[in-house]
Amino acid sequence: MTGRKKIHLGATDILRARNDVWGDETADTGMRIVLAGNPARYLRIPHSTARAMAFLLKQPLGETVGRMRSLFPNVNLDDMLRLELVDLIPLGGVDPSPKLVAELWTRNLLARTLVQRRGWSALATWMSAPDAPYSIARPLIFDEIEAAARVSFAFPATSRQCTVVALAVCAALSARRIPARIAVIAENEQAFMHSFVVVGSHIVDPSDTTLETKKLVPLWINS
Amino acid sequence: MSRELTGLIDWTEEIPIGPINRDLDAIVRWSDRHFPVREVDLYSARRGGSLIVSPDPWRVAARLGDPQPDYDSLADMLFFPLLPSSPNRSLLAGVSRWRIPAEEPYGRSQDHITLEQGVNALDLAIRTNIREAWAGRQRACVLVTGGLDSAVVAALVTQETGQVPILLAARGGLASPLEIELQDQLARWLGTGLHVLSELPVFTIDPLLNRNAGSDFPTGGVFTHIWDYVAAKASDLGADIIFTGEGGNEVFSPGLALAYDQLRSGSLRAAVATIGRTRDSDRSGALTRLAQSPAQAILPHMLRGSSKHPTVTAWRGELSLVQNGASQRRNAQLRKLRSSGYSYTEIDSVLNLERSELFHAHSKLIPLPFFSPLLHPSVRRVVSSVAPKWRNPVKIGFQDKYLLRVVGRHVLPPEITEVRKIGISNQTAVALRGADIAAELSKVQVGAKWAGLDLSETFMYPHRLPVNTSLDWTRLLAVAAWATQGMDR
Repeated sequence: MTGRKKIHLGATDILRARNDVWGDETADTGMRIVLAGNPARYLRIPHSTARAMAFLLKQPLGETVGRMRSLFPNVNLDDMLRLELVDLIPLGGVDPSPKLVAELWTRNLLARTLVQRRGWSALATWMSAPDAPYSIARPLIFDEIEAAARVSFAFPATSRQCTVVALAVCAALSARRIPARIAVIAENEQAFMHSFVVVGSHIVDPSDTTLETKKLVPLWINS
Repeated sequence: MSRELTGLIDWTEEIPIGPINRDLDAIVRWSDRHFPVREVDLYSARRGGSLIVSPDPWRVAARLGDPQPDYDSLADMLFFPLLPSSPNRSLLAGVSRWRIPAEEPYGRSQDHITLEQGVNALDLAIRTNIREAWAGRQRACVLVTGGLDSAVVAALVTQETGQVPILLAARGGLASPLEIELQDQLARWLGTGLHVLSELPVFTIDPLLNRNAGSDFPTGGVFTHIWDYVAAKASDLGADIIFTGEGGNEVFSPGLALAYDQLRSGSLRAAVATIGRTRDSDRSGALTRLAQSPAQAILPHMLRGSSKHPTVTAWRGELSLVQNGASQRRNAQLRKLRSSGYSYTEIDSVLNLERSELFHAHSKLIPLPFFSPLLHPSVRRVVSSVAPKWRNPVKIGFQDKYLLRVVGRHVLPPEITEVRKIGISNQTAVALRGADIAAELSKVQVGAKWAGLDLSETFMYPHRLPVNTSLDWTRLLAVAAWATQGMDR
């Protein structure tokens, strides 16, 4: 996403760890060798950079450039970005790609048909999928999918019904080999429910708000 | 908005209609001579050849005979924020309202500034508001909810006052687990402890009655006793001002109105994205249908005082008629404001802000002032001067209330500023836990009967209803309390 061109980093820009960078976990001093995501190549990085990456990996929503500079004054953040070791959310932002918007639009149509035919049971397979561990740092692809889904709702024939949206988003993530599953929540005494996609500790839901209520589970679990 | 009428309540004058015209300018000129207080709205009615004028609508109505409710205005108040559809109507039949604004309520759009300039100006505006409210005070308290608005306010109050404020969190079921975690995170970040109110007082309607004594419009609601309790606790802890993040939603999440502004400024891509973001669910799925039906089951018993309980189907017909009328009046008002040069976002945010007094109002028993630096017109002015495509863009990694989030990034960690907005559960249900609702409502029976509200069994169980409907319940409760107090006068 960032390419190789020089980017001016502002203090309020946010850096996020990428989850497609591989390295030797045990090396704690000296240079480390990592495999960067794209273009796939190995790099030798100094220990201070490795520490900065380790720090970012523990930040679910990333860290501002200003604070990273004060925490890791010796690390060249521009280089980390240029070598695609981290992702950037710049102040001006990046639009979701039209290709992804089109994909979400198509998946929304298919999911809508499925829900019309089968009701909530269309979700059942995804609801019972196992809860797989995933990186603490939120990968930017989740936000890309959310933004693209939001835009796709402006186009005809889409549905904003949470069941349809969850199915579409879940299919888009699964196509990228991300272990997504669907959760349904409800509140006692309230006839309000909501479904959304969960990956590890992350929620992928194009709606603007998160509701916190009880998760629905198969009744046999506690019987 | 309601104004404080204490000291003016006995003031009513009957003016011969000849010397003055019935337009606002004439009233203003006349009131300058006779009645220099510009902070209150005046109410008037024609009787014979004269005009009865008073800051208290009930006194005007009493001169005409038995005060009767204006059902259309009541409907407007139920379906839309407090006074959007017609600022010249009161809730009393035959009584007009003369609105004399003390200052320009809407910031006129300036030439658009860039995103960076906007963020800096916003930061400055909020800090200035805090400094002005802080002048002469000793100890600040911030009411933290776990949301972005109060967190940004708390962090900026810390910087501007030079002391970490008392952080007060009302839990007792009002905060969700994620909000509780965020409250704790904020306290850790600011390096202070959190004062938690884990048990809330049982609902009583007396503070609400107190709130509406001498008020020209219904204010307060089901949370008034909780606000009183919070203010009393803050006072016990030594605070002399309470800062809140109230108004953040209305100012920084403009909704569909933003798409109109984006279209007008030529940002087609941004407008399409905003439309996509704010489009309603099409309600085609099984789960939503489950939620819809009970949501529409409470109001039938309340408008126009029907003693018989109609079927839900029959009532829906009546409801849609009333709602259509209210929406026509509101649209007329929107067109009028639009033609005077205000942007859609400004109109929308101001109309929604009028509602805030209904839910966030404490009684007059508490001397401690509540202050939200986000509610000040200067903040709205800055937001409306930022180019529309930057006000709340749909971009990768951007959440709702984008401008406020960027301001917050200077003073808070991303774990707080970048968290998605947290929706509320049915807080009315929490506020009414353990309350003897029937006994409390009997205190406003007179006003309810006057307004045509049927305090039937349906009315007694608002906690079984979804959140939107329970907010309607709160508004009706305020009407009943206001009418009870008005009839006493």
